[in-house]
Amino acid sequence: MNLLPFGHRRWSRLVDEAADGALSERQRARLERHLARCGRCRAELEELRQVRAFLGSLEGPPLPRSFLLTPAMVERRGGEARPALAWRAATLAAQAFALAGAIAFGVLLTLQFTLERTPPAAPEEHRGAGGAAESVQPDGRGEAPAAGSPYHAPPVVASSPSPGQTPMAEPSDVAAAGQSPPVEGGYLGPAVTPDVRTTEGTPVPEASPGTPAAVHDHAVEEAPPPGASLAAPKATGERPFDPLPFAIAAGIVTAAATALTFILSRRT
Amino acid sequence: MSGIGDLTDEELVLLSKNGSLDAFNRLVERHQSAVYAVTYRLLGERTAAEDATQETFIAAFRALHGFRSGSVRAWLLRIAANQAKDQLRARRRRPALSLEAQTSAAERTRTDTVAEDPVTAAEQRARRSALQQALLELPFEQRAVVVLIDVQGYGYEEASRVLGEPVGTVKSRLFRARRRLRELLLAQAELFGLEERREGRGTV
Repeated sequence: MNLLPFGHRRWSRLVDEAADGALSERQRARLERHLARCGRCRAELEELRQVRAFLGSLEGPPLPRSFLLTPAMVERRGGEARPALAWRAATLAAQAFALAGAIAFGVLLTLQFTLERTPPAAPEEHRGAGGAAESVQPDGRGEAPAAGSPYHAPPVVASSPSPGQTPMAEPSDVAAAGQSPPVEGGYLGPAVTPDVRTTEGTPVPEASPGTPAAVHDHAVEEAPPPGASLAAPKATGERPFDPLPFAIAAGIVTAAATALTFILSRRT
Repeated sequence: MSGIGDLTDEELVLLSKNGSLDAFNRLVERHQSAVYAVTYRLLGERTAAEDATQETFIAAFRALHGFRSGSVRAWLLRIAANQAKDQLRARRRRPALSLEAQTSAAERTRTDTVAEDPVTAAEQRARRSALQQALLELPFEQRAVVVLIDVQGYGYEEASRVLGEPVGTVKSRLFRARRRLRELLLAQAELFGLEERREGRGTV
C-alpha cells in the first residue's frame, strides 16, 4: 500500500469510510468526484463492500450443545488447579535431580579417571582392588538389568571408554530398569578378576578392549565402574578421597530421577 | 422459577451475585449463541470453540463480583475473546491438527443452510470455508474486530467495550482487517466472484 501513487493515501481512508457507509455529505461528494476518474479507487471500494457483504453472510454456527453450568463445574476448579501445579513442580524437581545427578556422575567419573592416571601404580594394592570391585557389585546388580536388552548394549560400549559421555547412557538404563536381573556372577566375576591381573599399571581405557566380548554385550552401566574400580585402590593408597562411590551414588540418583521424570511426564 | 425468565440481564447478574446458579444459567441461555459464534469465528474450530464457550461462562460466574454495570453481553464477549486467545496460545505450544483440516471439516458438517442446487451448496461451503480461513490469517486483534463488527454486526461502541480499546483504534483496525481480507479473497477471485476488472492497475 506504500506503493500507491502520491496522494492516494487520503483517498484510501475515505474509501474505507465509504465502504463502512459512514461518509458525510461533503465527503461523499468529494469521493464521488475522485471515483469518477480513478478506476482503482472505484474497484477498491467495490471490493471492500463485497468483503463486508461476505462477512455479513456468514451465519452463526448452530449451537452444538447447551453450555448451562452445573454446580460441579463451578465448585470443582479450585481444587483442580493445585494438583496440576504439584505435578509440574514434582516433574521439575525430578528433572533437576536427573540433571544434577548426571553432571555429578560425569564429573566424578572424570575425576576418577584423572586421579587414577596421575599416581604411579602400586602393585601391593591389588588385594584391595578385589575388594573395591566387590563393592561395586551391589551397584552393578542394580543396573545390570539393562543387560537383558539388546538395544542398549552398543551405545554403552561406545560410551564406556570416554567418561564424559556416560551421563548420556542414563536414560537407556532407566528404560531397561524394569527387566529381570541376569545371572550375576556370569559376567561381573570373570570380567573383574582378569582385569585386575591384566591391567596392572595400564591406564583404564585400555582395560576395556582387554575384557571379553561378552562383557561389552551385556554391561551397560557397570562397564565404566568395574574399569574405574580397578584404578580406585591405587588412588586410595595416597588419597583420602575416592570419587567412585560418589559417582555410583550420582549414577543411581540420575537413574532414579530420570525414571521419575519419565513417569511424571506420562501422567501429565 | 416462573418469573426469572422475564428479568433483565442486570437483575439476573444481581441474583447470580447472591449465589443463584439458576439466575446465571438464564444468562447463559440468553448469550450462549453469541459467545459460541464469536469464539467459533475466532478459533475456526468447533471443539476449541465449545471449550472456550464453556470456560467463558465458568470464568464469568467466578468473576461476577467484578461486573459493575453496562452490557452483560459485552462483558461476556470480553471474557470469551480472552478465552479464545488463551486457547490459541495453548495450541501454539502444542500444535495438533492443522487449522485448515479442522476448519474445512467443521464447514463440511454444517447442515443449516440448504441450497437446493448441489453445485451452489458446494460453492457456498467452499466460500464459507475460505472466508473462515482468511479470517484465521488475520492477527488476532484484527480478527476480533472484524468478527464482532462485520460478522456479528455489533456496533463500534460494543466492539470497543468488548475489546477494551477506544473506538478510533477499533475503527482503524477494522479498516486494516478488511483490506487484508480483500487481498486474501482476491487471491481466490473466482470463488468469490471478484474479477480483476480494474483498468490501469499497476502490479504492486
